[in-house]
Formats: sequence, C-alpha cells, structure tokens
Amino acid sequence: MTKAAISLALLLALGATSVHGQTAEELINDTSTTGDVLTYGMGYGQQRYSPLDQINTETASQLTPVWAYSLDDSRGQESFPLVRDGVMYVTTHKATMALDAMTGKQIWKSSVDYPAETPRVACCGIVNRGLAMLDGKLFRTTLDAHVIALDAETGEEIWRKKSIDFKTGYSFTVAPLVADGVVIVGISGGEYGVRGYIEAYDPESGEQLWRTYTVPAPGEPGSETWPEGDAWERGGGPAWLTGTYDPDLNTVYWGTGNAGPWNAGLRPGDNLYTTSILALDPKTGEIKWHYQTTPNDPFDYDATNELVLADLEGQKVLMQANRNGFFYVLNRETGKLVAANKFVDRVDWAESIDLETGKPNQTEVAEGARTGDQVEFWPSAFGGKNWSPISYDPEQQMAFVNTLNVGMNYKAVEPQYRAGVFYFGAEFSWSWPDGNRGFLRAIDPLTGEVKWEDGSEIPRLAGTLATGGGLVFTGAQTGEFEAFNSETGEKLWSFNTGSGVIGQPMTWEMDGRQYVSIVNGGGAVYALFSGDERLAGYPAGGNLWTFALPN
Amino acid sequence: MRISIIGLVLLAHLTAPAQADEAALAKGASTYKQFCSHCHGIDMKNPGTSSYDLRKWPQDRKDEFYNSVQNGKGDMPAWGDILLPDELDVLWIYVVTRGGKEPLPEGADNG
Repeated sequence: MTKAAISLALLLALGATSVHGQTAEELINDTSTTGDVLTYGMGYGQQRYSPLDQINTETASQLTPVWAYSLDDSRGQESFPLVRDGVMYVTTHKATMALDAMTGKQIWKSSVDYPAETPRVACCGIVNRGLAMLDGKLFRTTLDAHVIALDAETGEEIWRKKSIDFKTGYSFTVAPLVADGVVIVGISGGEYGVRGYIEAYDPESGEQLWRTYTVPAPGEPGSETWPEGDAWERGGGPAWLTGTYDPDLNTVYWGTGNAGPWNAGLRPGDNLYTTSILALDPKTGEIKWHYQTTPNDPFDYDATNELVLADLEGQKVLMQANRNGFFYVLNRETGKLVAANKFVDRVDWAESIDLETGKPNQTEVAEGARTGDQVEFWPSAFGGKNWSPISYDPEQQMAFVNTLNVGMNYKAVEPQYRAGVFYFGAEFSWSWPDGNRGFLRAIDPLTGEVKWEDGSEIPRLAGTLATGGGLVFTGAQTGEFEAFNSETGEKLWSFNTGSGVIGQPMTWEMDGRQYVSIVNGGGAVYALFSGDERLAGYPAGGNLWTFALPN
Repeated sequence: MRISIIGLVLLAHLTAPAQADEAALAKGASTYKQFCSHCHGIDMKNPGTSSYDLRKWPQDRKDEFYNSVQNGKGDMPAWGDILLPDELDVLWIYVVTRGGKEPLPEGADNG
C-alpha cells in the first residue's frame, strides 16, 4: 500500500468522528499520521521529527519551491503552520489564514484587530507563533492578551475572551495547546513587571477554567522563596512558549521565564516558580512537580524553551536546551534530574548542576551579578539558545539546536517601575565574539557532546526540523532555507527566500509527495536588540513557502 | 589641504551650538532605553529593517519627531498618554545628538 493509500485508509477509518474536524485521538496520533500536522511542534512531544523520507540525503539537492504566499506583513514571522485535509493554517500578529496546501491559494483570511498602542508591551518582536485545533475550531492568542476561537472552515470568530489588561505589560505571542479537552495558554511580559501565569479555557464556550500563577501570593506554596513585601506582584515568570503534553501520564509540561526585575538582589530567595519546568494537570492547572533551572535569576535565563518528550534509556524523559547554557534531561514522571550538561562553549554562571540535588553550583560571576558588580557573563540574556525550537531524532537520539555564542556586560541597578514599559533593573550591553555568533549543533542530550556543528557569523534564530530522510532543516537570518545531513552536518541544499528566516519548518505529505513548509520574514528579538547592522541588506516581509521535489 | 580642514573644524566648533546638557542627555538615554529600545535598538543601533533607524532622523524636524512619538506613526504606537513632557524633551535631545555623539544642532535646543 502506498503512503497515500494508508493515509486514505486511516482517514476512512477515522471518518465517522472526523467529519467535523480532528478529534482528541487524532491530536494524540499526530506524529504517526504524516498526511497532516495538527499540533504545534509536530506532535504533543514537540520532537519536530517526521519519518517521511522521500526528501532525503540523496534527493534534497533537487528541492524546489512549489508555492509562496504573502503574509502581507513586515514584522518578524515565527508562526508554525498546521495542515489538515489539504488545508494549511497560519498566523501573523494581525491575521489568521487558511490556504489550499497544494497550491497556496487563499481560502479565507480573518484579521485580528488590537489597539494601536499594544506593541508598547511586546519586548522582543510583534510575533505570533501559531494555532491549536480541535473539533473544527482553531484557537489563537492576540498581542493584546485575548484568546480567540475561529471556525476552521470559514475563519469566523466563535468566541473571544480577554485574559487581562495588556496596558500593564501583559501580551500573548504563544500558540495555544489543546490537552485533555482544554485550551491552554501562557502569558508574556517578563520585562514589564508582570506576574506570570498559565491558564485554560473551555474550547466550546471560551469559559476560563483555571489560572495557575507562576509566582505564588503570600501564604501559597512557594511563597517562602520570596521576600516579605510586594516583590511577588511584579515577580515575572512569564510562560510564552507552548508546553508539551503526555496523554498517558495526562500531564502538561510548561516552562516559565525570568524573574523580574532582573535585579535579583531585590528579591532574595529562589523565587519559585520563575525559571522553572512545571508539570501540570491539564484539567485543574495543579502543579504536580516543578524543577527550577536558575534560582534567584539575575540573567534573564528563561526556562520557557520547549520541553521535548522522548524515551531515553528506558525512562520517560523531557529535555530542554535552556537559555542558561545547560541541556537538561528530566524524568518526566518524577521531575528528577537525569542529566544536565553545557551545550555552548562558555557558561560563566555555574560550574555544573548537581545531579543529586538538582541545584546549580554557581560561580562568583553569579554572585557579582546579584550584588551589583559590573560583570561579564556568557551566555547573554539571548541565552545559549533563544526561543527557536530544537528538533529531536529518536532514531539517532540526537537533538538539533540553533545555539547562540554571545556574552553580556551587566550591572544590576535600581529599577524604575511604570506600568506598561520596561522594568529591567540592570544596565547592559552585548559582548560579541570574533567570528561566529551562533552554531547549528547536533547534540547528544545525555552528554551534551556536540557531534557536528555549522557556525554562522549572523546567528540562526529559526527552528529546526529532523526527518527520516536523514535531514535537518533550518533557516538563516540572511534569508536561506537550508537542509543538512543530520548524521554529518554537511549542507546539502539552500534556497534564498528573500527575507530572514526565523520561522519553524514542518513537513507533511499528500498524494505520495512530501512537502516542507516554513514562514520567512526577518525581524524579532535578535534583529531588534542586537544592533547587528549586517542585517540591513536583508529586508523585512514575510511569506509562507512550500517546497518539494520536482514532479 | 590639511591646514584648511583643521581650520574648518575649528570654525565649526566656534560657531556650533552648545553641547547637550549632560544630565538631560543621561535622562534621555534612560528614557530611550525604557520606552524605545525594544523596537529601535539598544543605543539606537538597528539594521533599519524591522523599525526605523533613529540615527537617520532629520535633525531639523523636531516638530515631526514630537508628533510621531506622541501620536504614533505607521507601525509605531502612540506614547502621548504615558510619556511625560519633560521625558519627550530629553528624548529629543538624545536622538538629535545621536546619543550625545554630536552637538545640538542650531534651533534644536529645548533646554
């Protein structure tokens, strides 16, 4: 039976329940149904791995564009496209679109309006990272902190809920997660004096079901890790990247961001649950366990980065390439640390992570950062890896990571709070290396060992995608969409898309042909904050691109 | 040739308006960081692709600068409701002197 026939048989088998849209069961099986991509990160575990192998190390050099679709927007583009029944769905900060996946022809476009002053509260780019779907509905967030449900067939709005007043520094860029029948989102605003939270909505009615704050109020569990006073009210802990979900354990894994303000001397204590990995009950939001990566964080070392689920050495684990330069592997049933190794060349804040206690062995640099000394530390607030998602090849047991090689000059100072503007409490500038500011790396999750790397002077900020064809796809801020041999790191193909690529590649098949899709459109955190003037020659302007082998 | 260039530089210095007041410039820098840096770049360094490169702002267009900041322009949000008038003044000094690298152009002083 051909792959197309298998897909068809699967479709027919599921037909009775899937007429009105994909079911919870289909979402769980997303990774094995290669004809569709129904979940952010290509499966609840966000491995961003597809077994598809028509495009492989032999054929990748023949890749060619099939179509491109203008996103009609000059902001940075980071949206993860979904595909179902031959329809592709994608977002920008200002619209949601449905296209014919074979031709790129628009089926509908639904605009997202928000007040003109909203971009004040977006620290790191006016972006949106995509959609979740369930039972014929699409779910997305808006920059002005709303959650919206749309009819997948027409693009019409079904419900729209305000999460919080954006004017006090709160925003959404996250793609929602549908888990155990609820729609889960996490707030942004770690640099604006917010109190972070993760919350859930009823997919049918939009009713808010729960909200779990990542910073406890006085008297709540974890509040003993905060000083007396009101620091907790602006304590940070945003949750701006999509969590993963293990249906068997019925547990959602969600990372939280930096404590605020950056000046850590003002909030003595570990500051739970900032810079933490949280295991949550999707129905109640209850925290089952937590693991904190950077206690009393002065560095902006978010632990928001994706928590990829895998089986390693007989254990159910999750893994994360953390901003703080360590690659963590945790047992996801217990939250116990399995491994934590440096995955970038220079990590100044900690010597190691104690595998017994799970605590970092911190350095004098970390102490100085907290006590107001002028310090230099690597990696910078950009992190050893920023938001750009990793992929994980379960056959090779290898992770593919766009790492950053940037340091920071830093001094904690008295912060000035005003609602809706930056609340840093630190003076800082970048410390640049000679040469490569980033490396695409193949990393062994358990040892941190780098199998191969491909450096670039302007670092890559795109996601990666691994495939059964022995490939890793990613993109460059100089516009190239690229394919590498995942065993050797040899670059096999690249195509100039005409604007920086900082999006998330994904792959799918239809009628026996494999496609790879990604949005391009330069901008966002590095372009806005680095001052890297070499990017002046790479204009903004996003498109959704789809590639395949020639017919 | 060399002498005449030196002469020109001297002449320029003699006729140039005053340097920006240091306190105003420092306040301008911190105001810029808090309100503007997330789009226009740290120290105004910016490739100019996603947002306007403020180092290119015409130094004789003060009114337009105030108008853009207060009311917004294109993709830029309006700041008039939360930016205090004296903050706008020091912001202008920061921008028009290219972060203190150049003297205040004639007629640009808000002192």
